[in-house]
Amino acid sequence: MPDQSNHPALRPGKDEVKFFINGREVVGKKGETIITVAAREGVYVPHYCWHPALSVAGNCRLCLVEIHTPNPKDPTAKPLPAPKPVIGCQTPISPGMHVYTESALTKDCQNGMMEFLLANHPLDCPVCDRGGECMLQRYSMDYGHGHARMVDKKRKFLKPSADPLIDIERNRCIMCTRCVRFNDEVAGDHVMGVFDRGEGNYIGTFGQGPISNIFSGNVIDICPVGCLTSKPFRFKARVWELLQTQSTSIWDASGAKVTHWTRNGKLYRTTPPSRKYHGTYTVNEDTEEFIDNVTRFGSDFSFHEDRWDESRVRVGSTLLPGAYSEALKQAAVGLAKAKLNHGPDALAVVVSPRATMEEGFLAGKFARNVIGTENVDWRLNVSAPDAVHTAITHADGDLEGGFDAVVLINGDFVHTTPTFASRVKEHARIFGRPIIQIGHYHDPYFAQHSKLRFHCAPGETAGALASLAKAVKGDAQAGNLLAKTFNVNAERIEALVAVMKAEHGRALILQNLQDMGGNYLADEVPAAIALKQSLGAAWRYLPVITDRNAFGLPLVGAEPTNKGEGFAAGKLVEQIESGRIRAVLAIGADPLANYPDQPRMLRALDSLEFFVVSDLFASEVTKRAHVFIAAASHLEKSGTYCDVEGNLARINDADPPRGGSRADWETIAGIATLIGSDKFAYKATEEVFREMIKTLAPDFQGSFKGLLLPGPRNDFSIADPGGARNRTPQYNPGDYRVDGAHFRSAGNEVEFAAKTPRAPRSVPAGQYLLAWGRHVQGADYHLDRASIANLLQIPPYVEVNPVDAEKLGAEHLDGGVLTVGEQSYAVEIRVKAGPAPGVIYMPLLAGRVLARYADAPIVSLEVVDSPATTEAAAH
Amino acid sequence: MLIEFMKGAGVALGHMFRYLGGKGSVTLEYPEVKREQPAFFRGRHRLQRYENGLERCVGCALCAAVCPSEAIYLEAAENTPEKQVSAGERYAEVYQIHLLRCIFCGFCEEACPENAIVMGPNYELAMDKRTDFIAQKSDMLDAPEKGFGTAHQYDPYISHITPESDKEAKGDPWANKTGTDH
Repeated sequence: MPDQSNHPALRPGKDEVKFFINGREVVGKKGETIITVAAREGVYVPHYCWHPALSVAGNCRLCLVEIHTPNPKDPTAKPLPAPKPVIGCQTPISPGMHVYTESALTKDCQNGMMEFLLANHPLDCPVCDRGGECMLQRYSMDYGHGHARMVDKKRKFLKPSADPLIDIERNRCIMCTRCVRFNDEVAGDHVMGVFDRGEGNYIGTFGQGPISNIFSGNVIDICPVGCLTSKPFRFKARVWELLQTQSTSIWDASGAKVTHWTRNGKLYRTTPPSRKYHGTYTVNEDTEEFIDNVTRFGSDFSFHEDRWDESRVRVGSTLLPGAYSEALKQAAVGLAKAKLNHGPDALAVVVSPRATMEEGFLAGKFARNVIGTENVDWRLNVSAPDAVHTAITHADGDLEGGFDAVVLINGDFVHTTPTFASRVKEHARIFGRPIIQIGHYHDPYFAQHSKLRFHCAPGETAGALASLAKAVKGDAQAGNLLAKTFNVNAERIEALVAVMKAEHGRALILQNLQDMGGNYLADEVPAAIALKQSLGAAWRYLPVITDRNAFGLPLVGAEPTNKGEGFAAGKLVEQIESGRIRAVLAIGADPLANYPDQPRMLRALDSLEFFVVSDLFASEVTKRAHVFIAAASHLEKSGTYCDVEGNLARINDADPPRGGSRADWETIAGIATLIGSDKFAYKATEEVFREMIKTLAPDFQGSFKGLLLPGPRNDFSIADPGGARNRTPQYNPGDYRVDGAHFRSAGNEVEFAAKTPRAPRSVPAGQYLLAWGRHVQGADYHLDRASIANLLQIPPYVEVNPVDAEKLGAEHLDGGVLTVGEQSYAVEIRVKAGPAPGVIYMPLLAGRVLARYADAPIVSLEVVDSPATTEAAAH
Repeated sequence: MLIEFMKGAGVALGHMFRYLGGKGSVTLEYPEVKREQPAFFRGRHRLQRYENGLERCVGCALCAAVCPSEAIYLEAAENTPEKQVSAGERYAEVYQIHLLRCIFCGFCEEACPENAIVMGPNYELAMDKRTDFIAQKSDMLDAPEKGFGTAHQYDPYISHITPESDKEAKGDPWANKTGTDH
């Protein structure tokens, strides 16, 4: 359950309930259940169906406890035993109640329940992938019999093959319904259910279809038994054989913590962080750290056959494999020569958005101190670099301590930063906080909890936010204007203003910084910040973007400080074509990845005088390099990332770098040293990190203990045989939180003037405005190379509002042809309430071919026969 | 003194003639003649099969987990209708025992839930190359020429496997429990 202990509404002292657990007096809050208070007090009550992040079902009955309640007639007399044991997960605490979790009656109940649950459970632990981290095995040892009295035949189900990622083995199911509740409540996808009755009870998916949401992989972890297991990991290894490395996701800025499970230099699986239980580290079934499927199944891209693990140097027209030191030398010579011939400003350093903070810091230091230029940038995938910079440096919000209200602007949040979106939703769901959605796209993921939703056309959001700021101050005219923009009546606007004006302990404005609506971002960001500034101290601003280290790299100087006319990685092609940039050092960055006009980019790269790439794979870009330096993957290096909320997290090396590859920070430091600088003598990322922190925040007082020490690796003991295999940093988020005040103060005093609204664009009848955004399951040169990329990536699709769908005559999952200018694309049409009427939303999948830098283009959509129908006709 | 000497020589000669007669000899004409080992002898490993030829091993890796010298390495895979290797859903695709690491403690036998790995009577452990000491699955299943014994269903040295228990454990783990089919 999200920690709300700092929340003003839940301060201690209010509604306190004093009662006893095993004779010890404990304090809970009114309305809390026995199991929650017990867990907080360190008393373990066994449970299957109860999960801290899900609603209470109360159907496994394993948390039965004995209670005695005070005698109502004489409170001083001995408490009266309840007529029968109660379930701890659903029974609220009451004053003076005595709870016994270890009494003879409780033990008898646990024992009996375990026997019932195991009655039909097959004894196939040797072939079950859950073996070794199974709650049923564990509880059977702790609370069970050790022998079976069941003599009847065990029930048997047929095995469905519904999902390509999740294996369903119904014989092992104990009907806790965790997966059903997870899909309903967290994933927002009503796809699983309990079917049939009585003994024939089983779980399954509606229509035998797959569990096709981005969070579906989490049912593997939360399943307490071996019913739902991972298909990609099926029978690959036993969990106790694998080496665990605590790390963090590199896919999106949510900053999900993960554990990589490896053996013999191969990645077997990625899970939420493992926790210590009974002396060994296992995946915790009660984990609330839900990770998306891309993080879970996509992290093995570095084992793709395209991987070049040897550095290469161009000789004539071919790239010949060579030693790393030789490649570094050639790179240093080439860069120094280019600087000598054309001056320092003809060189550019492009850093990947997935680079660590250390790498970004060294790239900035290299560009400024060694080359002498400001041409260093990470914003390859960003169309409005200055707006993104403004947004990120003004971010001051987080989810710590919860929120009373949240405003979402233009968001496909669940596909931008899935884990973060799930946490926002968890707060809203559990504590009933209102979600307000404004803009040309509303995230259907939050639909259930969105009290108020206001649609407007792309480009009108900035004006609407400005009007809202005025309306909150009591400007009636602005309110009318707002009602017109949103096409709603005045009461809805009054309700919106009332929520904005209400006294909040903490409230958030979340803005999606995706390319949705193209150039409009430049207006929308200042408008959102101005709105926040006009609302008072309780309101915080938090922009959201996919790029993993978008919040870390600007802090460490991986961005040009001269705005406006300065270098921008997103405009690399234009700058090469104009002859301004003659040599490029690309650090793990693929300039082609999201660039719309690929041949033009390749021509530009060909025309470069000197081009150094440090990357993993053979690609069109790396084949054009003069020097290719083999880089270590995210599994082979260490470094620091910053997430949306300003938390730092560390990736740790699970394996040594493959072949002759080296981490990017070593490469930058090596080139700098060869060019002649003596300020790059680092031995480890920790040294870079210390210098980075000293440079950025000399007065930083926080402790980086948990961040810097990867934890004991050799704490082998007989009692903890897993210890020697596990690298276990003790994650304590409080230890390494970057306080916004240290990094984000620059420019926070600037008052943002509210913009006057733009006139709405006129769209010819039958045509639509196109909005787009990036999708973590979309085209990505890393994800393309994951072993099961075909199962993770989604086909090109467009989302259409039901109103427009009716006009078009389109049905959900029909096929369509989207025409932009002279180009046409085959797409799948999804009818969703997300986009505003008149707007077509397309995630940037194959959409990388769309022109990103224009305003929202006017497009037309034609419905063709659905692919399924065409296929059927063909047969 | 002479009498004592004669007595001693008499004992020696008595033994000599008795053994020359072939009775009660403690040495053998190895390798032509091999000594019979007791049932609890822990020699070279064997992997067992069911009567119908399916492998007993389901690749659960409990033997590898319990092995104190980390001598066992295995990789499991899933049976398909086209390629049914073992009786369950899972089989060992790679099964190796490093015989130089093995201390012949017998924990693997004890841990095996399927009675698939047994330690047979074979004590001939000499090889020409170090790499030969890594016993592959085929060496332990049915490769008599390498000295790993013959393929067999019931090892006489493992008394607790009976044809009855074998039949019960064979096939789909749920096949013999014919409950309601959904």
